[in-house]
Amino acid sequence: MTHAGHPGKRQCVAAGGETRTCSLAELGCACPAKIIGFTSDDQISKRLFDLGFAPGQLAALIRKAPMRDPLVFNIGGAQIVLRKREASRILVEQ
Amino acid sequence: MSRHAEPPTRAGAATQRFALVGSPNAGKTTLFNSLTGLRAKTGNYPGVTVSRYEGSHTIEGGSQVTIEDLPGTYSLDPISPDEQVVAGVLQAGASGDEPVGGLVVLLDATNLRRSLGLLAQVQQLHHPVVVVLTFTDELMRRGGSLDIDALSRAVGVKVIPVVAGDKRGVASLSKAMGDVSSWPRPMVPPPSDPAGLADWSTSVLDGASFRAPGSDKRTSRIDGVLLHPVWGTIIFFATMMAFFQVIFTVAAPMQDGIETFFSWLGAVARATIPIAWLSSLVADALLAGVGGVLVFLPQIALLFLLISLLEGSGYLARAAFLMDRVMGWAGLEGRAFVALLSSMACAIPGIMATRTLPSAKDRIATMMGAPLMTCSARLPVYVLLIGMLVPAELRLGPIGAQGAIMFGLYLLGAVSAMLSAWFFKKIIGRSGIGLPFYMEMPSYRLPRPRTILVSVWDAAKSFLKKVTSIIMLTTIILWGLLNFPLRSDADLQEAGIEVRDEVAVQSYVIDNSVAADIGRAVSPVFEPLGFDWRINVGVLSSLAAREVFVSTLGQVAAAQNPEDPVAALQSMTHTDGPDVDQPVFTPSTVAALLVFFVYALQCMSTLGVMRRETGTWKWPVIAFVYMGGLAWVMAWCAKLVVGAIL
Repeated sequence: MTHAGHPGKRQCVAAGGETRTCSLAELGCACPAKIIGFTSDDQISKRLFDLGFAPGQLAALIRKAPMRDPLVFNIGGAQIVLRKREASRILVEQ
Repeated sequence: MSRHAEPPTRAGAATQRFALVGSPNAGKTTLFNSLTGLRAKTGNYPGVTVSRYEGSHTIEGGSQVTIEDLPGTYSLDPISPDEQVVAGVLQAGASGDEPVGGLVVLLDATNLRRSLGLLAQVQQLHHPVVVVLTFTDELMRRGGSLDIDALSRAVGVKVIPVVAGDKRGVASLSKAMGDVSSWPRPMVPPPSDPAGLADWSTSVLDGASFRAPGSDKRTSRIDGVLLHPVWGTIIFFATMMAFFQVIFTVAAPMQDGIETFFSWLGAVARATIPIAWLSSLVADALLAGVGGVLVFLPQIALLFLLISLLEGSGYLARAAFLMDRVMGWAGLEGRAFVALLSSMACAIPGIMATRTLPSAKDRIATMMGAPLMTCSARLPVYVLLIGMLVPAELRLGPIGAQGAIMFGLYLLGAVSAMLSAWFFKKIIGRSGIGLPFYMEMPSYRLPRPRTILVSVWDAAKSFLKKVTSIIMLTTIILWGLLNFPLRSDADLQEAGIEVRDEVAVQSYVIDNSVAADIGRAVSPVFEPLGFDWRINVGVLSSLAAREVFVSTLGQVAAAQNPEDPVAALQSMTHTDGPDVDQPVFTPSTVAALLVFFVYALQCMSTLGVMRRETGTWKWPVIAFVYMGGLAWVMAWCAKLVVGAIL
């Protein structure tokens, strides 16, 4: 059930050696993923950058709220809560 | 070093001003409290709903400096009014009329890379900068390390470690503030473009031999329980129940004590002041006014005690995380939950609790909804009216009908509060971009007693100072309306009133007062709801505080038996108009009154606090008008519905 290179809806799954690109909101597990950029270049993305979600940094999903939104991420030693809407702006590769 | 003269301050600006800049949770408040103690004052930045904290600090040698605690920010590119304030103060180089002498930038050692981004932005402004490094103890505990001297060389400014406001660190910061001219400046400011900034941060971190802290084991263990989908939710509701219970029940005996004390003082005043109108003014207006303000104090102090405990320990962020989705339905975020919950005790602490919201837009939307939550002052009114509507014996299965109606009113209030917050969130500043929701989960920490003390003290002080005048004025005006024109004994005898019969005198005075004239004048407005002029007077007098409605109605109805106003009220009939001699309190009118009290903003104290917290009369006026309109429409609907059923 891997969709490598498939442009549609993807689920990031850590699978042997392959790198895949998806958004931070789609991270399926707690394993760290490397941030590669943002879906758009605007003030909100700039703010996410200022919060520590900078390209090259590793981000990991720590936990989901009881209703699966918002999400807690570990970024640079801090725990930051983002809603799915904002997390889906951040692109990562695994 | 201090030989090269005074720093270039403007003539007339006697004290130097230092601004604290840092991200939320970087330890800004702790440092501010250590520097200024209880000498801080709270205000508003002109035109925005952003609280302004400043205080004075005495540096070595005895001269005074002003410390301004700027709102916490992650960036100087403003996307909210709060951040605009920070950016504005820093770019203008002045706040109000005093220039900023130097900037104190707080760096969180456990979050150094992100903190460096803010420092870089601040350094581009070319003000004198000194860095305070916080949480170095936590960095060590979590297995990280850092060479502070090397960090200072790498960023080109002085770095002072201050752990949890410790005396040594604060003293060396204090010393540094006395000699701004000696602060080192970097040769070139850090780059501003994202890529250059990232490289700069990496080189600074390498230069300072920074080893990032590991994940906080203690915090993740506690979070494993407190944020567990099942246990975490149960613990959350238990905590909030306890929170609400404390504000509601622990405060009650203290509030009763204050009320008893002031009614005793009133009785003393009545007994000792021989001039009737003067003793009434002192007892019913002045003392009752002061008592009416002080009665809120236990709730406010308790609320801020609990909030600062929850905030200081780190649980408030967890509660917001758990409630975010639910609050999201009203367009708000998790942090608004505490404000709305507190409003069920009293809207005043609830509105003050909106200070924990970082977005001014959310703060206003929450304030517009909060007064609709069923506060404790509505309870006596509801109890009286529900008692007239349905008998205590009536049961629907195991549930008493009275209890069911009470629950329905609480529910109506809560749903209306959420809807109204949603509405105001939609219409305020539609043009602005939607603020993203983000929040840092701090590590669990022991709350600092000093921070808690300052928070409680500050809330109590600002409430008393700003609100007392407004409430006092309103109480005196209402007293005047209800008691003028003054009646001499001769007037009373002429009208056939027994002067010694206090109840008769009271009811005669009120029946012929200015308030009664107003009550009759506004009858056309309230007639569709079934209110007669006496109810109108009660509604008018409840502006001072909702529970006053009960005692006023008792007086206005000339209750022969003041101990049982319900019986007297039930037998009350219309004195004029088309329904002469028909009972006033029909089920549909009582229902209309109940619903009216759900919506109407019958509370001057709430308006006063809203004015204080928003810094303008605009929002209290909007709230009063929209809630009044809503109250009328909803009461009218309730009258129609109940009239159709019964």
